Parts: sequence; structure tokens; C-alpha cells
Amino acid sequence: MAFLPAVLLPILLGFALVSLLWDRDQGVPGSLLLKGSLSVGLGSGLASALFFAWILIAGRYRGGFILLESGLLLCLAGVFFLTRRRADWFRFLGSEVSPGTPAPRWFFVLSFYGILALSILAFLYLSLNRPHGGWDAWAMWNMRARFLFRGGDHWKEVFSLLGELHPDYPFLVPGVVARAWSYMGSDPVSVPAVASIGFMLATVFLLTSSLCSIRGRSQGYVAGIALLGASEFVRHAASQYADVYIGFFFLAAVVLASLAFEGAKERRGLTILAGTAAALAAWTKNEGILFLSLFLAAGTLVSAISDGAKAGLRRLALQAAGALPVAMLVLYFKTRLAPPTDILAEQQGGALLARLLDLSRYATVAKAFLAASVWRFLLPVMAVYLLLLGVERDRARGKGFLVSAATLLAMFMSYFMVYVTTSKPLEWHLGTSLDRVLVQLWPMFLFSFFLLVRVPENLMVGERPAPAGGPPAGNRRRKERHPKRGKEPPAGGKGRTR
Amino acid sequence: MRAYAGFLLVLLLSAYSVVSQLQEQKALYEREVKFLGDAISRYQDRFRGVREKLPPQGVFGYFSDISDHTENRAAMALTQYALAPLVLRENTDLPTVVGNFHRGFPAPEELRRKGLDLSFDAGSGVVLFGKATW
Repeated sequence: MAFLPAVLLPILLGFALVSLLWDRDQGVPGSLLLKGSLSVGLGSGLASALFFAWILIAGRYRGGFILLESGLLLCLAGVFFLTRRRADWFRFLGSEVSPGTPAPRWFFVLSFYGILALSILAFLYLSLNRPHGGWDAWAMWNMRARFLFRGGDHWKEVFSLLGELHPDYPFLVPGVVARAWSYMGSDPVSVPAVASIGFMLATVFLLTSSLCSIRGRSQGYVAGIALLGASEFVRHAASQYADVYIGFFFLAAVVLASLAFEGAKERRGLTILAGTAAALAAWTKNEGILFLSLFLAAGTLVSAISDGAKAGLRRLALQAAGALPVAMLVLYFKTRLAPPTDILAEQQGGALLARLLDLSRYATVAKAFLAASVWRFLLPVMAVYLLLLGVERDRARGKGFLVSAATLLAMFMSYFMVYVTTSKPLEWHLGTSLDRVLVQLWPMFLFSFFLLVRVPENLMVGERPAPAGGPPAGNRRRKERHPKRGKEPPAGGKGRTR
Repeated sequence: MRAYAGFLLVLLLSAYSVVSQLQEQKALYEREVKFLGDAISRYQDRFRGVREKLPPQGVFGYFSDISDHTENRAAMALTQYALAPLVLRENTDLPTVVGNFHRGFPAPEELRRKGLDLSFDAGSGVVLFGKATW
């Protein structure tokens, strides 16, 4: 029975926070699915950080932690209800995935849910075959969770045995698992698998529902199919690796930033939430710290270039405010508990320069990246898809796309250079981690890609009969009446372009 | 037409990838895991008897007959995972040492040389040693 509160409390906490910070202006797309998928990841991540902070302060889990989480939930819910009109309290329950866009053709929906069902089945078989997850899961993440749960006051002894297993990695995944075990009072092996499938599904629905909201429904469903089509994504989720978790937070940050940029007005709540998502990436793995800095820089630069330096600084301040609580925990962990990062600590000036100047290393890394992208991800398929459907030129200039693409490119280049300069044997380093690194970037890549590429509905519009008395499907949205005022949207307004 | 072609391309290759993975994992389950259980759970079960004999916390020695470095590292990591939150050190000087043997019990001379005395045999090659008093 304790399993239910262990799972539901963080989701409700996440939902209360997301709802509270979700901007109230009518133009913000916000389906229950979009908010729900954000709530699963953000709520679980924040609960993990809270649990770890509790362990640091109180020494071990006690019943008071449940009171703390429940109290926090009540506070957030109370603030939400007090600051909203009664008529708006449950508006989110009725909100559509993509208000105003034509319903997707049945085969998009059927194909997406068909692939999703098969992927869930594949996840179940993968989990039955390896219930403890892959090597990194049991040797690193679940081992740490066992120390947090079973170790009591001695949990820090885990740092004495993690010699070769990245003792400097933060504790989001062990925190999620150990927190649930603590609620339950036992440590069944199914909990890490449940957490993993939770993050896998949250990533799928976040990608799908965000693109449904921003670009139209068929676009979201095609993106969801492509995400699941990379078998590495489901395999690593079932392996219980942190890469699917961090991929969720990368995606959440760029989705929230894009939604914040979509409107004419500044959407502060979404910008703050984007900062929180980026900080949770930093609480998951070291790559998240790199992401946090690159994401903040990209958002600030895009705002500053398009709207002026003041707007850039304001965006930076809002994102930093959202990131601050979790970033402080990461800073404490890095400075007080964790040893130096091995990849940085092992770098020595002369050897580093020699590796940087060795062109054969660039060729080896490029070849490995290309091979992995072609064979294990659907990159060639996406290239053909892009050629067939073409690019939405207005989108390429959109701020949401620019932030997302700039962060993705910077992350990709950084990973490339980490391999070029690694002090570990290059082939071994590539062979043991490249797939996982690409799994982290895959959802963010697909989001940027489908922001840019033309919507299938727009190309199919000529083949579809217009409903009696109505405009052709592709133009229907522009003719729709404003939902609130019962009028046409104001001409010349900065409405969303699809 | 182009939109349909693009969509079909993504759908068919995604479906192929997902179905291949599903078939492969289902076959593995039907062939092996269904009857034997998974490898890590089986490995963990070997240490159940030893776990009950040890205190809830502490640092213990580890001694194995695996000579290959990578294999030994994996075996020790699995043993550590099974016994967490106990901490294992790969040395035989600690008062209690966990023995993990796959090819047979070590010769008495080797145990004498290391100063180890068998205190508990959990079966399946898993034992506990204390320090010998002789």
C-alpha cells in the first residue's frame, strides 16, 4: 500500500508546482498530458533532491519526511487555489492537447499508440530478463540506493567503494529509488524499473504533447514514433540507466523555454520551470552541469540578441531563480561529498595538448558518432523525412527553436571534444558510453527537428475534403473564434505560427 | 503524397526496430530466464546465507579464486551489490573475510599462508573466514 503514496506524492507535488507556475494567459497551450508528463519528471526529481537534503540533515529517513512532503504539497495546492479564481481551478482537466488544430488523421494516433504498446511490452521483457538493470544500474545507481536505504547513518561509506564507478555523480536516480523504498519499508527490485518506465513514458508524452501543442497533433505523434523507434531508448530505459532520466530533463528544459518564447508576453512561470528542469539535469549526472550552463547561456543570448540585453538578463535571472534550490544542493554535493570529476582530474596539460592536436582521434570519434547515429538511431530516416517534408522557414528563426538547437549543438560538440581529449583508452570509452550519450540527446534532437520540419497536415490538406460549410482543414484554425471572447483573434497579433 | 511517404518511412522503420527488440527479448525470456531466473538474482542468492551471519554494517575482506582482472572486478562488484551496505575490501587481513569461489575451494596451504580459518560455509562456493589462531 505504501507504494501508492511513494509514487503519487511526487507526481502531485510536481503537478501543483507546474500548475502554480503555468502562466495564466489564455495563449499558453497546456494540455493535461503535457502538464502531467512534466509533473512526473519534475516532481520525482524534486522529491529526490528533497529526500537527499533530508538524509544530509537528519542522517536517515524518518516518518517526518512524509509530513514534510505532504505539507509542501498542501502549501503549493493552497497557494494555487488562493491565487486563482474559482472558475479557473479545474480548467486544466478540460484543456485540449492542441486547441484549435484539426483532429489528427486516425492512422497517426493508431500508429503512435501501437508502437507505444509494443515498446512497453519490449520494456517488460527487457526488465524480466534483467530486473536489476544493466551494469551501471546495479553497480552504481541501485548500489547507492541500497546504501541510502539500508545503510542508515553509515550511508556515506558508499563513497569509499565507488573507486572506478564515478563517485562524483550526483544522486537523483538513487534518491528517487531510495525514497520509494523508504516509504515502502522494503527494497523490492521492481522499484527502479517502475521509476525507469515512469521517466521513459514521461519523455515520450512530453515530446508528443509539447509538439502537439506547438506544431499540431500529427507532428507530435510522428515525433513520438521516431523517439520509440530508436531501440536504444527503450533498451537503456529498461537498463535503468540515468541517461533516460537526464534526457527527460534536457527535453523538459527546452520544451519549457520554447513554450515561454511562443507567446507575445513574457511567460515568467515557464521560464522559472525551465531553470528547475535544467538544474535537475545537473542533479542527475555530470553532463547535466554542462547542460545547465549551456542552456542558461543559450537562453540569455537568444533573448539578448532578439529583445535586447535587458530582456536577456531578465531571462537569465528567472531561469537562475528556478535552478537555484537544486543547484545549491549540487554545489554542496560537489564541494563537500564527492571527489573531483575523473575526466577533469585525469587531464594533464602536455598530454591534453597532444590529444587535441592528434587528428586521427577526431576521425575515430566522428566515425563512431556517425556509425551509432546511422545504425542505432534513425538519423538517416530523419534526413529523408526532412527532404520529403521540407523546412518551415519561419520556425527556423523562432526563439524557441534557436535556444533548443543552440543548446543541442553545444552539447553535441562538448561530448565530441570530451571523447577527443579523454585520457581513457579512446575505443573503450566510445564503446562503453557513446550509445548512452546519444540517448540523452535523442529526445531533445527530435524536439528541435520537429519544431523545424513542416507539419504533415499542411501537406495533406489538398488531399482532404473540407467539412461542409467550413474551411479546409489546414486553414481551419485561423478561422476559429477566440475561445474566451467569442471573437476572431486580433489581426496582426503575435499568434502562434505552425 | 510526400507527407504520407515520410510518415510511412518513419513508421515502418520504427516498427521494425521495436518488433525486433521485442522478439529478441521474448525469445531470451522463453529460452532461459523463465526457467532459471536472471543471472544477477541467481548470483545474489548465493550470498543469502552469508548475509545473515554478518552484522548490518562494517568493513570485510574479500577473497576469490578468479584470476582474470575484469572478471574478478565484476564478481567483486556483484558481491558488494549483494551485501550492501556492508563494505568489501579486496584483502585478507581484515578480521572477517568473504570467500567467493567458482572453481573449487582453495588449498589448505594457501589458506594457512593467508592466515584464514573457515568459519561458515554457505554452499555454492560462498564462505566466511575468520583469522586463524594457529
